[in-house]
Amino acid sequence: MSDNVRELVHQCLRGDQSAMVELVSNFRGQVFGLCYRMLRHRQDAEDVTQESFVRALRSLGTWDQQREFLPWLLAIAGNRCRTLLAIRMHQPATSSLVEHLSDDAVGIRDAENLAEEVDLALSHLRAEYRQAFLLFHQHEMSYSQISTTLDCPLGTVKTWVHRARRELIARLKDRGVLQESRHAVRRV
Amino acid sequence: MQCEEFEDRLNAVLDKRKRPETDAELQLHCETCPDCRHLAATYGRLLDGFYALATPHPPSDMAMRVLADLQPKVSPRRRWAVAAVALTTGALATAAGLLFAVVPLLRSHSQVPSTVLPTLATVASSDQSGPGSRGARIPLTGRSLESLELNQLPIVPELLALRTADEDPYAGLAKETGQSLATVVLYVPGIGGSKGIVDASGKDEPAWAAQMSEGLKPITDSVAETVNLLLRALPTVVSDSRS
Ligand SMILES: [Zn+2]
Repeated sequence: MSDNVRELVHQCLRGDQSAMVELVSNFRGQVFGLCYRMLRHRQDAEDVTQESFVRALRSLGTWDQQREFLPWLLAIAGNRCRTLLAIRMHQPATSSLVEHLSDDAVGIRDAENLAEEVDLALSHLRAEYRQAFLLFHQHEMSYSQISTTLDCPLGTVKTWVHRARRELIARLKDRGVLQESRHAVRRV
Repeated sequence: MQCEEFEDRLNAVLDKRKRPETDAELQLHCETCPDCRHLAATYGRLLDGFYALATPHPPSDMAMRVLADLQPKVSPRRRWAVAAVALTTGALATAAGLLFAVVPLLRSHSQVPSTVLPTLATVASSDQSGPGSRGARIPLTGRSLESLELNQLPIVPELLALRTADEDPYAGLAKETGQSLATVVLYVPGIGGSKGIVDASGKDEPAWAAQMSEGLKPITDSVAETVNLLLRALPTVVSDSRS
């Protein structure tokens, strides 16, 4: 972690509000990005991002300064996301709860819709798999960093990311999204 | 390499953030195995789709929202007390600054009769019914203060919003309300006399409120004296600002 971030954290701990603003501004994109992809709902993602920063700033004193800041911050955000996802699971499904695609998109092949299908497939993953996958592919964190963030063994994290990929592919195949490439391969 | 090993190898390559086609061993196997070639292609498609996902921008006011959330949630009564402390501190600075500025005027206006304006002591001693009755019941006898609309002054909790690290809350309030600085200093609770901003005689008053009221007395007395000096020294300036 850069000394800049460490200095910023020190200023926040001294109650410097401009430092808090800078800290939030520096990391809001990454925190919001994770929350949005985890929750697939803009308003929920904004709320959880906000809540995560509040929690982080309130507990800055507990951050081990020998460790990196971002994994610590994303751990807080990820935990909040998983909590909300768990609550959602116990609520009756409503159309407004998650901004989802219609299920009649079978066979869509263009790039934009492929992205949407991947997004939809992500939403069906277990929260742990999804978070591990996002931290690896979206945030480009190392397995070691993800292991710290999720507070679980590195081997487990690796397994989760691999399972996430396999399940995503299985779902995309079920949806017929990858049919084109299958035909293309077979024609060869 | 056997087909059973292919997917593990593929994942290992992706773990190194490389494309499947960059790995010679995978490539070699794909040349002779359509199923594994298809599998590699699906992984590629998955990641293509994932990286094409657009994430909307976070709200630009996120930092402000977070700061607002970090403000302590306090009861209205406590906010009065907190505001009073902040404001009294500001008033001291303001009044002291004004005093320095008007010392020469003070000398030149020493002939102005003290009856032109009510002294702060008069105002304070007439305010016997606690903070809830601030303003309206104060008998104003001074001509230049008659036109003041006290009920237009914001209540104290709102003043906190005006307060920044660099800004004197009294100056901010004066700007906000269009009132003169002297008027704001005179009528904002915290310099309201011996009862202070919290009526400590009430049965339900917590201990901290009584302590707060006691603690403010020396400060309020000091500011009261300062403002009285200012009001006596500058009657024409105050009158002009009202007309
Ligand atoms: Zn094979």
